[in-house]
Amino acid sequence: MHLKDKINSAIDKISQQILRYNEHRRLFQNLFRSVKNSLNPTEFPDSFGFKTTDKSFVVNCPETNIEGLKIAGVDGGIIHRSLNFFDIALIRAVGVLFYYLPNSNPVVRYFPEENPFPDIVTSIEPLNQNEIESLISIWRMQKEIKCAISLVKEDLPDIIIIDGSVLPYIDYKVINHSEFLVHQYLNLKTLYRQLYSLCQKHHTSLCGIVKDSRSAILTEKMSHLLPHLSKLKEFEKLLEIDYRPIIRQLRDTDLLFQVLDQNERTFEFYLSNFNEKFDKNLPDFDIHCFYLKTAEYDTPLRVEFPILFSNPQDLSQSISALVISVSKHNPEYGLPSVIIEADARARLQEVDADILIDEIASKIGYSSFSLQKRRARSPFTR
Amino acid sequence: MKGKSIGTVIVAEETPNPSEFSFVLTKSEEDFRLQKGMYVTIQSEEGEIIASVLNVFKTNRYFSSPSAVKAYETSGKTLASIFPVDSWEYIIAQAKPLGIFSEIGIKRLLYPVSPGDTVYVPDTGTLSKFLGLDPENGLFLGKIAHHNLEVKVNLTRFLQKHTALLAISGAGKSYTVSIILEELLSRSQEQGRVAVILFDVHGEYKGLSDDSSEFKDKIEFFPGAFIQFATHKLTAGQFASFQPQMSAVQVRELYRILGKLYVTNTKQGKSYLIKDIIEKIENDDNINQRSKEALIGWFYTLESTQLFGQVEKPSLEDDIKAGKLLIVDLSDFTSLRKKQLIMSYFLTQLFDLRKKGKIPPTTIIVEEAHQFAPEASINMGLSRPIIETIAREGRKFFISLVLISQRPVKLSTTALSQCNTHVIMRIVNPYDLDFIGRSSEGIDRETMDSITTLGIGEAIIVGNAVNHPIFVSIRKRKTSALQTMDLEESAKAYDID
Ligand SMILES: Nc1ncnc2c1ncn2[C@@H]1O[C@H](COP(=O)(O)OP(=O)(O)OP(=O)(O)O)[C@@H](O)[C@H]1O
Ligand SMILES: [Mg+2]
Repeated sequence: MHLKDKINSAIDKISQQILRYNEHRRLFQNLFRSVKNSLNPTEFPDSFGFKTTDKSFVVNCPETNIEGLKIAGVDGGIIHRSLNFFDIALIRAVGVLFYYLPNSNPVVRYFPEENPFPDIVTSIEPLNQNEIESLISIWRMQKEIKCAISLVKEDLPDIIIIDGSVLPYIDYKVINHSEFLVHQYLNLKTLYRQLYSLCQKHHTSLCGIVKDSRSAILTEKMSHLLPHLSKLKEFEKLLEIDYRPIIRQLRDTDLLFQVLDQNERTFEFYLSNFNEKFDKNLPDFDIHCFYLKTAEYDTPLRVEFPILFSNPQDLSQSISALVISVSKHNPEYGLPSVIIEADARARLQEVDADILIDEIASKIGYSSFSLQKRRARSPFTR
Repeated sequence: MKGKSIGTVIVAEETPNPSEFSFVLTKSEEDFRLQKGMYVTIQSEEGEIIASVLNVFKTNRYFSSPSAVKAYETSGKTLASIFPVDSWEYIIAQAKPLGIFSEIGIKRLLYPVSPGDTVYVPDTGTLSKFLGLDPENGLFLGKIAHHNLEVKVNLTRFLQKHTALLAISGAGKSYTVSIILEELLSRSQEQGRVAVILFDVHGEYKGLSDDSSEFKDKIEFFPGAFIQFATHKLTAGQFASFQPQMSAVQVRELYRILGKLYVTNTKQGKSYLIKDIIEKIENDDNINQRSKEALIGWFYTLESTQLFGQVEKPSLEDDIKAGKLLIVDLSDFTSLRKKQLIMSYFLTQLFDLRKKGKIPPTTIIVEEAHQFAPEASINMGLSRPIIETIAREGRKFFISLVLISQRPVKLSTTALSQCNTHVIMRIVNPYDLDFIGRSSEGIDRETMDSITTLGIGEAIIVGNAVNHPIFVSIRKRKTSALQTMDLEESAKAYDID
């Protein structure tokens, strides 16, 4: 076969796959759309672990008036440079609080300040690539959660929204070889517990917002459940095909983008609990989540929250209403304003980092880090 | 020395580099009115880096994506009610380093300033020295607007190598001339005074010598009606320059004739007139008839100008005095040729007297210089050769020109190229602009671009008088206004008479 023919046949194959995937995706989208109000998750067998109290697959979110409310967001920024045995990172986190007053623009406060100088953290632990990445994540989360704690202490917001998960998502298998990493991780969990308790004490709602197009948390759970739903007449058609591999390919947002309309969320369901095996005697928290569509043309957000007070259903309603109120203004972009602002404040410029890090490097007698970074690339690329 | 700090150097599109950097205005200094054309400074180990602000702009991340702005505004709310947009407004300036200033002088900057460097407002003393001004003895022409810095240009640097004052009509050339005159007339003996002669084409400088003028004792206003040449002072060559068709043979004959008159008249302390020359030609047997007739014809035309007499009026030797101004009023003459004749006669005499050391160092101010030294060869001005000669050689004899023109393209390039300082006011004609770009040394793109935007009374000084092009707001006059009227006044004056 000629090269051209090979390419053509490869392209054909890929196009076919995509077409088929789209077809199946549409099948599921239409299916769930048709049952979004009739399917009752409380009827799902307990063994599937949804632990939900919502009585329909899709729930309408209430509208809320945010006048007089304080809505906060926290985000972090990080820049990391690595030498053979030396890691250095610039980290900062910024909390923003919008205080909504009647007939005026929100009053904005920053924690610890508008443009905080980043922490410069270093490690000389012998870590492999995955471990370093975990360390960097841990450092960043530590900074963010500390920032959130001080924000709650100082200004008692009605809700605090964290950019990213509300849990410290670290793969324990990756870090458990390094005592240093485990120590850092446990320290991070302690910070999370402090934040949860503080929010619990002050009745501050807490949630993490994940704009994530890759996870399949819900579709994975649903794939196990589907055989049990086939008695519903809408699902009958599914029996004609082998749907299991298909739904396992489907990502949550892929499915939900077409199922949810603006101001709708999925039923809330159990995500995880905070404690791990080794956390035995420490206070535990249940973490629930739902998907929420804040903008007509944007993918739904995953909203995760610990059950700190009230009950999962009421919490879901109040959190979703507040998140929508600060995310609904741009039909193409559904992130909360407080997160957009916090992200912009926390973001670190690569060039600033280069300058700072070069300065440190020259003090300790290294040649330029940014040069090293450039050299590290292939000699053939420019 | 540095003034207050206003900003910090940032990294932006390939800058900082040796010829440009950007800085962001410090939040607390946002009320500081940073403007294009201002000077800023950065401390370095070698001295103060002085830079000029090329551009100032604002940024705001919330308004940098048109589609996002539009999308948010579909919600019916303003962006300011959703985000803290105000706090994202940054004022950023682009600046061009001009040099490093230290005790040992000014050096070119060959390396970039550093990101993070603090940017200051320079103090006026430093700036004045950096720009090559002369705060003690200079001519006070105006101020550098944004810095409240008095522009005092050094007399030698400003005038020794000639100056051109170029701008469209109404930009304030004559006004600026009167400022220069006030300054020249105010100088003390110790500061060094020059004599000044001004050819007033429109009769607008009479007001300078009004009774109310503090300079009236230093100014001689000479009315056009009384102008007269001392015929006997004119050489054959000069007559020839009045009559370019004259052949070499004819000039030689005339030379001989004037030689005779020198012996019979001048040497005896007697002057002579054109008619005496005509008579001598008529009675001369050596000239062929054709030349005779031509010469006589030309001399009759010269005589008809009524400019040729026995004595010189005004008398240059008497009226050209250090610290004094002689205004020669040409406003009554309608014939350009006549005006050129006058210019030619007096400039030739001036140059001669100056070479002989009979008059002090002199500055000659020529309004409408393009009429007296036109570039176009078809309309070769009678006075162009002497203006070009003085432009080329005057420097050695401390006789300097200030050429004023609203059409630089039409001005002799030879003369203009010898003017080492240009005072440029508003110019809009693209040909003139282009011409100035090519003929003004050291003028850069940014400076060029701002020429069209200059207001009345605003000028750019480039060249020998200053180390860098500077923007000057020409100061107010001390003397009464120039004798100019606007249309309404002029119409009333005519009607009521
Ligand atoms: N520095 C100044 N301050 C205040 N007024 C000024 C200044 N310069 C010029 N003007 C005013 O602007 C007007 C035009 O000025 P001026 O007669 O000097 O222009 P010009 O360039 O000589 O014009 P033209 O080519 O027609 O001779 C005058 O009314 C003058 O008073
Ligand atoms: Mg004028």
